[in-house]
Amino acid sequence: MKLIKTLTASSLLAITTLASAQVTWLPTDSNDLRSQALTENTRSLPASLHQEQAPVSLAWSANQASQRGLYAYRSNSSAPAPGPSASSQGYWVDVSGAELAQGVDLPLSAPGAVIRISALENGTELQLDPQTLVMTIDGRPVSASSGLQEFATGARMRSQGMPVPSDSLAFQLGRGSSAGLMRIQHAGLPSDQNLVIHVHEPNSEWVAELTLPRANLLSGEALAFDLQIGDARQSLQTRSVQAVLISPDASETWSLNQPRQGQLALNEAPMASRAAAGSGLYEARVYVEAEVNGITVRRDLSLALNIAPAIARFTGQVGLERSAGVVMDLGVETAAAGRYQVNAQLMGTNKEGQMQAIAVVQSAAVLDAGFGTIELAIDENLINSSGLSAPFEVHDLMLLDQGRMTLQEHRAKALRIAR
Amino acid sequence: MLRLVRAVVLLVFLSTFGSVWASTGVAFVHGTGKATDAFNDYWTADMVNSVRQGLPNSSNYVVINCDFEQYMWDSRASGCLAGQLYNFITSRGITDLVILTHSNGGNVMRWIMSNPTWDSRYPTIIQATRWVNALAPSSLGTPLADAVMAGNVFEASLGWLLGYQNDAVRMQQTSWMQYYNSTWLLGTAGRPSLPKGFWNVVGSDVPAAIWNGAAYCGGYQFQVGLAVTKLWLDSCSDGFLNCSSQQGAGSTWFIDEQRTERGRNLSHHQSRRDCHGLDVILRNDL
Repeated sequence: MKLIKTLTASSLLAITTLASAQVTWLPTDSNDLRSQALTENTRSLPASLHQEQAPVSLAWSANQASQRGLYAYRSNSSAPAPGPSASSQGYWVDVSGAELAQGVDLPLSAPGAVIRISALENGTELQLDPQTLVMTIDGRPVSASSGLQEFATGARMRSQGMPVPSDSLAFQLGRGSSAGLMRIQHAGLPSDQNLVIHVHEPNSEWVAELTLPRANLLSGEALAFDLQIGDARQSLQTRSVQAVLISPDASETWSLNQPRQGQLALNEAPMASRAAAGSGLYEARVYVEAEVNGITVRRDLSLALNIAPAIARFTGQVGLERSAGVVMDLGVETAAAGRYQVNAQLMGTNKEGQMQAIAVVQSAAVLDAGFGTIELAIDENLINSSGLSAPFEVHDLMLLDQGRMTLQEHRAKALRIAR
Repeated sequence: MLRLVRAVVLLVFLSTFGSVWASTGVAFVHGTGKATDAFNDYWTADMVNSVRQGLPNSSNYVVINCDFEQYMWDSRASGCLAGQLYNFITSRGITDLVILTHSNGGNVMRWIMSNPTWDSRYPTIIQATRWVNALAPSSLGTPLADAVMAGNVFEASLGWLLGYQNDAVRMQQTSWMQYYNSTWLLGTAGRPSLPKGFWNVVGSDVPAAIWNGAAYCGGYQFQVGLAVTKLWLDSCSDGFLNCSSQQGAGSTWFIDEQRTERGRNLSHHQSRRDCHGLDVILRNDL
C-alpha cells in the first residue's frame, strides 16, 4: 500500500498499456494547472525543507468528518471553491512625525471611519496622546465617538491578540463625522519617526475588489487580475491605480500594468531570486482611487498567491490494479529531487448515475530527479461502504512539491475508471 | 451457579477497571503564541480540571506547549504539536482522542489532518482522534491581521512589512488563509473533507457593558479590549474573529448562545475559559 517505485519510462508505458482499457484521462479544465515543460534551471531552486524520508499514504471516507450525532446541524457547502479574491473598505498611509505635525489629509467616503495611528515598530516610546490630536473634516472640527471604544491604546489592542505596535492609538469618528477630506494633526512626535495611519470605513458602501482565476501559477504564465471599485449598483471609473507584485521576502517588486480599465496584468509570472522554501507567499498590492459626487474613494488591496518553478508533472502514465479496491500508480516526472505529494478524491456513481465522493487519498514519497511513480490506494472496504460503484472518477488531483511547498499540477477532473 | 458468580465478578471487574481500558483522552491545543505553561497561562487550571472530569480516567489529558508564532507547517508549530500528541497517544495507549483547539491552534491541527503524509507520525494521530472541537478557530483568518500587516509600499521601504510581525500573524491574514485553504488545507467549502470531524464552537458577540455580568467572566478588561477590536469586524464576531471565519472549515457544532448558560455569548477570550458553562459542555462531550 505504501509502496513507491521508481520505474523507467518504458516499464511505465507497459503498465499503462495494460490498464488503458479501464482508465482514461478526462479533458482538462481551463483553470487546471499543468506545465508544458519542466524547467532546466534547477540551480536556483531553494533546498527542499522536508524531513520525512519514509513514504506515507492514507485514505479516508469522504463522509467520515461529518459524523458526530444529534448536535450537528450544518455541514460545509460542497460548491466548488471560488478563486482567490480580496475586498477593501480602507487604506493605509505612511507618514513621518514631521508630516503628522503639519497635518495629513485623509479622504473619507462615509461617516464613522475607524482610524488607527501606529509607530512602524515596537518600543519607540512615543507619546501618542488623544488630547494632542486635532481633527477636522472639510474644515469642521470632528471628534472620536464617545463611549466604550473611544481611543483604544496599543496595549489594549495587543491584549486582545491584535498585534499592533505598542505605540498605537485607535478610535472611531463620532456621529458628527461625514464623507469629505479629513485633516489629522499630532504635534510633538520625533520628526523622523515613521508611522502608519490605517483608515477603515465600515459604513462605506464603496468597496474595492481584486480577483484572480487561481491562486497558484507556474513561472512564465500570464497573470491577469480583475479590479473593481463600486457599490452594489455601479462600478466607478478609477482615477488612479498603482499595483505591484511583491516577492515572499518583500525584497523584490514587479509593476503590474493596466491593459484596460478593471484589469491588471503581468505578461510572465516572475520568480523571486531569493525564495526560501516555505517562507511565505507572493502578494499583489493595489492602491486605487476613484471619485464619486466630488468625494474621493481611496482603497488598498492585498491578495496572496504563489508562483512556482515547473519542476514536476504527471507523465500521463497510470497503472491500475483493481483486485483489492482501486490502486493507481501515477507516473511523475521531476526536474529536481524532493518529496512529492499527490492528493485526490475518488468519486463513484450513485443509483441516479451521478458522481459522488467516496474517499480522499493522499500519498507522498521522496523521488529523485527523472521518472518515478507515486501510488494511490483506496481500500475495497471504503468503496463498498460508500454504496457507490463504477464507473469511478478521480477528481481534484494535485501534485505538490512538499519540501518546497508549491503546487505543481492540479486537475479538477483527472481520470475515469470504467470498471 | 458458577456461571452466575463469574458474571457478577466480571461485572464488578469491568465497572472497576473499564475506564482504564477505555483509552479516551483529551488534548488542549492553544492559539497563537509561544506557550511554556499553557495550563495556567492560556487555559487556566479551572478550565482544564473541569473538562477532564468527563474522562473515564481523568489523568488522560495533555496540555500542549508549542511555538505557534511560526507558520503552521513549521517544525516548531505542527512538528511540536505532533510530537506531543504522538507521545501522549503512544505512552498512554490512547485510542479515542478528543482534541480541543482554540483560535490559531485549529489551523495547526488542521494542517496535521490535511497533510497526513507530511510526517509519518501524523497518521497515528489522525487514527487515534475521535474528533476536534475547535473553539473559535481562525479558519479563514482575521481582518485584524490584515489591518496590522498592510501599508503603502510606494511610500515606505518594503522591509518593514516583514519586520514587526511574526509568521503566525502573517499567515492569518484573510487572503493568506484563503490561499492555504485552497491548496494545503482541507475542510473548507468546495475542498475535500478532513479525515476526522472538525467541529466549531462559535463566539458570536462580545458582552462588554459594565452592567452585564457576562462581561466579567475571564476578566472585564479583556472584554473592553475586544469591544474595540470589533470595530474592524462584522456584526457577528467574538471580538477577534468573524463568525464566518470560525465557521469556515469543518462543521458548526454550536453557536455560543444556542448552548451556553442563559444563552450568553462567548468572546474570543472567554472561549478558552470556564465561562458560561462551556467547560461543562466540553466535559459532557468526552
